Amino acid sequence: MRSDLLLILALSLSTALPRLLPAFLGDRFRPPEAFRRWLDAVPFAALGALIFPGILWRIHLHL
Amino acid sequence: MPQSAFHHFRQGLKASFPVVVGYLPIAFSFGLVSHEGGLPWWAAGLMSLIVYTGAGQFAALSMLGMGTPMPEIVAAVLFMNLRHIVMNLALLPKLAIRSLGLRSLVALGVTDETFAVSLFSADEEVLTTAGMLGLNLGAWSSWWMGSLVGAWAAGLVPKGLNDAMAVMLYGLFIGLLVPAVRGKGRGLVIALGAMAVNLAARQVLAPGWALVAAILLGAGLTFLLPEKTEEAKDAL
Repeated sequence: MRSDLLLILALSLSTALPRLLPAFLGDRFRPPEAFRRWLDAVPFAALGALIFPGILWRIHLHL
Repeated sequence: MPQSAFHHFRQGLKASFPVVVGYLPIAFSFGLVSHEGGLPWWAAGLMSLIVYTGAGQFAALSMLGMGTPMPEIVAAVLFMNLRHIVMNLALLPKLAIRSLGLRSLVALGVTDETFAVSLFSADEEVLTTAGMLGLNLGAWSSWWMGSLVGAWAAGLVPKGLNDAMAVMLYGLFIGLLVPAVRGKGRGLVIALGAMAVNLAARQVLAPGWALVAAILLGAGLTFLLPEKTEEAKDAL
């Protein structure tokens, strides 16, 4: 129960900090093009890695 | 609040409607699946309230279910959410908010969906400070309320169905990935590359760190692929 709360608080920081960073940077900062390119690719990589090979483990468990 | 700000807020709230319709079923299934992952109902609600990230929350559940230690879960979710840096860098200058507190409030509510709605909405009153607050409030409320209802409903659902819900998690990931890579070869290559890295990294790393490595290196594949097209750039 205590560890659940700790995990949620830590997770809330890991989502709040990326969202807040640009608010603190102000309007003038522009990230390098290469960094933007890499960030654009992150959602695809994350979904792919979440699906495989974890899905094998789940399917195996339920068949 | 001045009259026009109130009007913008209402327009923003109205614009959140399609996002709310999209969020409610996903939030509800998050509540259901969190029960299977061993989280108490209040934890599912609290997570949606203050973590507020779709794929990241499901990823956290999935990793919790595998017994992944906390630092690995937090790192994976952090990397999944770095994209919000870019989104807010693109969005906030358009609003030109002078108050840091107000700018932070808007920034905290941005998601992939509210970002897309704000920039692509036909109603330009949405892309104002009050409009964004309305849009974000609508989306955020539906997310945590849907999660709470799902978590309460989970107690009423038989155990076997809860197990099936855990498998559903993969259906959700695939359901997010397939439309995203449709017509985008590079997205598919990056996703498949991340799968390969994940499989290889699991031989030497704990599953959570393997996931982090797969996200970092898989996304790095973007530099080996041809330059992206103009339409993708326009999205930001």
